[in-house]
Amino acid sequence: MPGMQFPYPRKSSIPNSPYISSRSTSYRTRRRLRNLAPYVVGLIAFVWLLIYLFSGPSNPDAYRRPPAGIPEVVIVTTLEPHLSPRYRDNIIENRRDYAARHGYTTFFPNTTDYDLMPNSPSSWSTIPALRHAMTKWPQTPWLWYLTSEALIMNSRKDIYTSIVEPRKLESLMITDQPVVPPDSVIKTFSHLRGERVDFVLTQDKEGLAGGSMLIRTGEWAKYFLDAWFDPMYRSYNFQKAENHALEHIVQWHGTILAKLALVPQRVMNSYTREVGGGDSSGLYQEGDFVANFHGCANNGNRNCEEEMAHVSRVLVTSLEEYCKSRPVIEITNVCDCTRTIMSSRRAGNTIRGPRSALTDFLAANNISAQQIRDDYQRRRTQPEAGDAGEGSSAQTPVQDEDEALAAAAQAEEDEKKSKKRKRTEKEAIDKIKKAKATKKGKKAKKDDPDDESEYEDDFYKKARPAPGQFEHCEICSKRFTVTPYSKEGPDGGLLCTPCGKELAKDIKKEQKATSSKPVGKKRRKLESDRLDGVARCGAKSLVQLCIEKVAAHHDSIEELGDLPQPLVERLSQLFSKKRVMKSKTLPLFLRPDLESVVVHDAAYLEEDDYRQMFAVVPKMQKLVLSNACQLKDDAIDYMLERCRNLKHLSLYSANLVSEGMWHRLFREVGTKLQVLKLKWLDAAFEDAVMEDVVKYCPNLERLKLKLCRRLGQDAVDCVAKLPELKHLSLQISREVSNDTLVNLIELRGSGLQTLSLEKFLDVDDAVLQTIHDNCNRLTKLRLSENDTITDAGFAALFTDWRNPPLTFADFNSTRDVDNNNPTGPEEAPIGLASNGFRALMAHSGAALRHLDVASCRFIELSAFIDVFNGAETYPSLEYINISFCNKVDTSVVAGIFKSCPALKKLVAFGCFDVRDVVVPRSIALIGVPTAQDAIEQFGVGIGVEEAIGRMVEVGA
Amino acid sequence: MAEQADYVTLVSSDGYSYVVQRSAACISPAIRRMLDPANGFLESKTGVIRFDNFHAILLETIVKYMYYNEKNKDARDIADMDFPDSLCLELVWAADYLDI
Repeated sequence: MPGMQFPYPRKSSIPNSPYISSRSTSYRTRRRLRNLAPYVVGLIAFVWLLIYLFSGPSNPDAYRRPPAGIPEVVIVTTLEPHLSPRYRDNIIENRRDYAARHGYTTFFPNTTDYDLMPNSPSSWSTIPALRHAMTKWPQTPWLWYLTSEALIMNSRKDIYTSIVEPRKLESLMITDQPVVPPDSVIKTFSHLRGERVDFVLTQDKEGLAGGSMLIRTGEWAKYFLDAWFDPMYRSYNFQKAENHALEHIVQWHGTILAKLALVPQRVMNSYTREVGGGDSSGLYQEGDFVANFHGCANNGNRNCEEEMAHVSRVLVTSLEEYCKSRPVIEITNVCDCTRTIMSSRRAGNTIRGPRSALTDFLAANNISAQQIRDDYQRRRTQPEAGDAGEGSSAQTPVQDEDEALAAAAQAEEDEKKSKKRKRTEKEAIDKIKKAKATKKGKKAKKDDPDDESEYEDDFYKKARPAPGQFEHCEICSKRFTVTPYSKEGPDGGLLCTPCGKELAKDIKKEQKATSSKPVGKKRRKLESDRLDGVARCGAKSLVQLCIEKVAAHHDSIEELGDLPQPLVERLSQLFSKKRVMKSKTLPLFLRPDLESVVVHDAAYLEEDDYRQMFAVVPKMQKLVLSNACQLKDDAIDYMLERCRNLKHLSLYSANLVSEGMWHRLFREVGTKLQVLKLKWLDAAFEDAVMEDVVKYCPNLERLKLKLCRRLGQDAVDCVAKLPELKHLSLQISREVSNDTLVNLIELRGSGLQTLSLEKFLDVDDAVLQTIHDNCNRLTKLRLSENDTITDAGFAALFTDWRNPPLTFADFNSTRDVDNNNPTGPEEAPIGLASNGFRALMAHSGAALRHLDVASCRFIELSAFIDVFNGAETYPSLEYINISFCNKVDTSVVAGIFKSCPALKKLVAFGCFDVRDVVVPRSIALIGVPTAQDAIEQFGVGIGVEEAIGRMVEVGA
Repeated sequence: MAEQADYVTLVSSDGYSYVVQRSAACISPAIRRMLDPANGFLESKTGVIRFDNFHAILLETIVKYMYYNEKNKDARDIADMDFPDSLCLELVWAADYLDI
């Protein structure tokens, strides 16, 4: 059917107001209305309050029995005219027999009796039939519609006591259940008084089960039936006709939902076959009130008559068997036990229907058919004590019983009655709980005792107002309109939309907090640490753990105590790294007894902080301020006043210090200064200042000048005049001639232990020759980023050099850069190439700890193999960087592993011939990734020999 | 020199003693030197080291760390050891003293 419609509400739909706002009322009228409004509202509220206070349940008499002569229930079954007469008679007989026992009446209209729309399914006739019955028996309180596919199986059950009696109904009804299973957003009310229920219904797996329903007659029923029978619904072509229409109106109309009680399916609508799969909580079991052969009429493969005949036969045989197997005398004893049940039956009702012959016979022998069946069932279910089905079937008063027995038990009636009710109620509750548990599928085990408390809560929760009503928010106490999406607060009340959102956010946050950190992020951090050289195998040192913890709690620490100075400096590093070195935390690092202030990120510090620094630590000998962008003349002035012992001064990017102040600085504290490191000084620091440095700092031993824009050749000339210079690092942005450098090295070379010349692109072999001739105490040599020096120059430097072996050699990026000729000049390679590399290792290999030949791409494979041949060892070498030496292959890496017993880290980015490396223990190989591996590979538990052995296997 | 016992005893200032595996305790160069017979300290003979400036809680945390370190010697990507925040300043000082 192409035009098929479904009755479910969509979350996005917006109901349209049928009222169009009118602009035609004059301003004055509206104003007058507005003035009146509070009074009108007040009056309405008052009237409502009166009604609320003095009115009882909507129909206080409804749950009382009607006067004698009026049937209590009308059983309505619509019959298709084409049914076979036998089937028809069976159905009618079944209903009549039952009705006669209880003083009910029956009504069997034909489906064709009512004027339905053409083409609408005959099942729609249910509704006019009910309306018809209501007109015929206007005083009868309840209508029971039972489909012609169903049989009443347990005629002892009485609609009143076992279903619609308000307390009973309250214990039966399923609260807070999606109206249409499994996931309708509309749920049945969590609390509804039994007196207010006008409509009792069950659910099957697919939705509301309209095969058996109870409707309380009255104005509401009229409204409800008329609404249901609305022509619009009838013509809407719902897939399941009136059943879907019912689902629709129940979900969309609060007035209907408010009167609806869903009861467990087996209370009045057990199915003989499963619908839709899932659990079998709705399936017929012996003793159930009704057996619904759902679908038997419309399914060509099934035959209602046959199925029903089968069930009736089972009933009869079981009864016969029982009569045969047990002597009558015993049964009377059983009857004793149930005396209390019988005595609790209603006293006033005198209407009795005719009894069947069998019933009479049995009654004469003190046997009740029901009793027999019950007993039979009890015997069957004995092993599984506490079966859920027991409670509901045993609770109803026995219909056909001896009045004398009842009278005898009259005395103990009251007490036992209440006890009994409590017990049966409890059983019913348990049963519902079980049904719920299986439906929700929360726990696999049905009898899990943990579920109890959860459902207990559900039962005693405050009533949930219907959508559209006003309610006060549990958190902010503001009034708001309840919607189906309103959230529940922590104490069970409802929340307004903003509070609900907040709550949802909080819950989300909590979940986030409890869930462990995402693995990806953690891994990324690890990788980053490794590339920084921070990560290593094994545990962190305890000191590291501690200072990390201190840094993590930076805002709650008041003072560090008397930590040793190196620790304070480490902690300061960590604070800077975490960007928490601020005005608030700086005092932690200032102590009068300390001799140093080290702040690697002073960007957050302001003028007052600098003053505080100099005020608190007057004995300061070492001052390191990086990113000292707010260091100004005033602060320097104060420093010159307070701290006269400065020996070590590192200032990075202190660009607010004026030229005059630089001059003053060196004049005043220069004599004691031994270490001066200046970086990133732009504006005011120029060659003239360097002249002062030379003049006033005669004891300077260590000098680093990097990235100071205004320094040039003159500054280098000045440096040459520093007599005590031992360590020199230069990176001068302006051009410096080779002669100047040669002059510098000639003058100072003999004393230098460290020489670092970065980015001197034009330094040539002559400078190297000068180093060769003059330097004989160097331990650290760096000549990086150069494209002039030739391989022969390097070879000459390291050949017959008086200098002892270097411990630190950095020649990265010394190579020819010519895009048209990437392999460089063949004859005389530029930069550190094969010969230079061999000479370097021959000279310094014995002591070398740190070797950086990154991007020295003219070093041939043969040179690497010669150097790292496994026979020659480099006992101190810990760090090697061979990145972008594109000739390197796996054998070189293996050779390095063999030749360098102390190796900790090998960096080999861009060495594409390195494959399938097995990394030995305690070595970190960085930069040789395969698709699956981390960019760094740690050796795991195998020694060098084994690793190389494996590599050979792989290669073979 | 007799064979050295596998365990050494660390005693806190308030008299609690911790019997620790020698290999674990020796991650601290300071303790290693104390226990080295070549240096001839009393501790190397008795196998008992008194720490008059570590109270029991501090020493216990240190012992925990010793085993944590021992256990994770060759492991990678291990979780940091947890200890009370209030202890960390004392602990950093003690750890510096023991050079661990």
